[in-house]
Amino acid sequence: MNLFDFNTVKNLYELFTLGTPIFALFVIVTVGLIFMRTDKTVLMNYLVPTVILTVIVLNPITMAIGLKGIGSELRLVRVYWLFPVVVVFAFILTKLLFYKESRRYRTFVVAMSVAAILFFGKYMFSADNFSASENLYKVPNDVIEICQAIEEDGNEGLILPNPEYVEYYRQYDANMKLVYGRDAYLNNYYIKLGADVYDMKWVGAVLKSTKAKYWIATKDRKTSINLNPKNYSVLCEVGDYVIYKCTI
Amino acid sequence: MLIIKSVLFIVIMTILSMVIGKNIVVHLNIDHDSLAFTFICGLMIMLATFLPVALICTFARASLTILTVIWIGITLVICAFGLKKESKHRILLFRDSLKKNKITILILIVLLLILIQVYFVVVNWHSDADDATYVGIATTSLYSDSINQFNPLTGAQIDVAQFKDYILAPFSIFWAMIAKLFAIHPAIVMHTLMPIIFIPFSYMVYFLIGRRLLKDKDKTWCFLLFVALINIFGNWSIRSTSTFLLFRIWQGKAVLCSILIPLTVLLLTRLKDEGATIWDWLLLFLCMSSACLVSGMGPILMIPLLVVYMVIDLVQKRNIKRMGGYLLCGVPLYIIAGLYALLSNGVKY
Repeated sequence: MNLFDFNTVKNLYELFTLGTPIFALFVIVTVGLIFMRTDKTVLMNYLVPTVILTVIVLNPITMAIGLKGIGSELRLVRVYWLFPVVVVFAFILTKLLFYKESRRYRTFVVAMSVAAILFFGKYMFSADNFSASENLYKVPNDVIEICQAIEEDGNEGLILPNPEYVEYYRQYDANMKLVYGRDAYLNNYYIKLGADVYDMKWVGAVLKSTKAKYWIATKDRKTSINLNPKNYSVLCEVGDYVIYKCTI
Repeated sequence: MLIIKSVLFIVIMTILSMVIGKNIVVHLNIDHDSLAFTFICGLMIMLATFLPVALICTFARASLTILTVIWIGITLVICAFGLKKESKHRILLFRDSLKKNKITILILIVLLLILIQVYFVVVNWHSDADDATYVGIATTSLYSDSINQFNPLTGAQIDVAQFKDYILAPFSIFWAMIAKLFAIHPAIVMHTLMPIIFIPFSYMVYFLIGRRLLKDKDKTWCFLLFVALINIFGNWSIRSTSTFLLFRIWQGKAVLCSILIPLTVLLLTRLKDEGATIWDWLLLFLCMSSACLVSGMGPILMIPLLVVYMVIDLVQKRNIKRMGGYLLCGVPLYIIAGLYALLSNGVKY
């Protein structure tokens, strides 16, 4: 990556602003407060460090060094956490609120502040972000049932898991030894096991090479060839999934 | 039974933090009855003392049981010292503290907003792919009674180069140990119980920041009200501190951004403005250690923060001796950064 290339730097700056006007608003507020010099404590403790950090951090040379060390711009963007966005916004709103004694004024400021937060912000607990927990472990119930079925069978070896649940099995039961993990999006596992039709030549080769004993497949998904019950015996079905015990 | 264990977990962790926190709070130039500061100091000590023990046990390939025994021993000793300090006055101080903080409607609203956040996080489920690693490490360590010896994603032998960040920041191991102590599954401890302590913990830090900035209790509660509202409507990016606080506080990096970075700024401003005793420096040192414990990003983010405040302090106070304090507080950061460099270059342990 060439950090002195305009587009790369532009992309990084977009990452730093988190793609929203909030960061721009934060910068404007910071600069405004510095010019107003309203409060020395805030100035010296929050705003001056913010400006220095901005100069240190948000320049291509630091980014180049940082990227080399950290290896990913998605991680480098965490430098954003050093900017006290929440503190500065909450401070300004509080200062505005106590600027005048009048009850009418304060009611107006509270109403406007809340309206601004609602307008610029995005609700955290929406259905897109949260769903009702199926259990206290906060993993799908199917995962628990699949783990229990394999444990009851004696958990005889490696498991070729379905990609949908691959990140959950070992959160619930670390005795589950998996052929691949969540980081396998870099290779074929997610594509092959997520396809409409299972490529049984590939699945068989994986099971054979890894000596895996179980394969968790989606029930209604077709296979490229009919499964030989000698090699693939059904252990049980859980929800939309079927656990095969494999002897290949 | 799980409910009893869960209540015990919350009560014991809170009491431990308050008792251990007394060790430092009595020496600091603050109201000794500051419950929030005492709690924060206590948790800092617990987390910071865990880091060296966990790393030594990791490199010595000791079991989780041995780590647990050593850490409990250390914690009990610190706890005994904490109990010795002002033990007679603790209940009176707590009562006085409650009297001083008269419950107003504003306080009730703020507390309600914080409770709502805790409730939503505890009752609902936000699926995050990184949990496979964070919760996976805790579950794997507990099941195998080992420390970072197995890949949390698959269960195979661990690849040190791939997981060096997590090996050097053993926050999930801390929760594996807590899960072992209370006999609760790590996934329940991290997903369901930990937010009950750590979301209020974050607000305590913001409360203290507000108090420093505004120097008035009513204004501070207003400040906290706005912080709570900004957090509840802070989902304008998946990388904001608010999303990390409310989506995945059980992950170390979330603790770093929503608790430890604001806390570090608070401690640095205290040091800069109010002079410093050895205890203030010690608290900053503990905070730096905690930052290393929770995330591999700890050293990377804390070093520039320390340097910036050190430079401002130097310009304002023109006292070069204080630079030594800042540099010494950064020792955990340099050590972890050094270990990171060693592991990155393929050094085996």
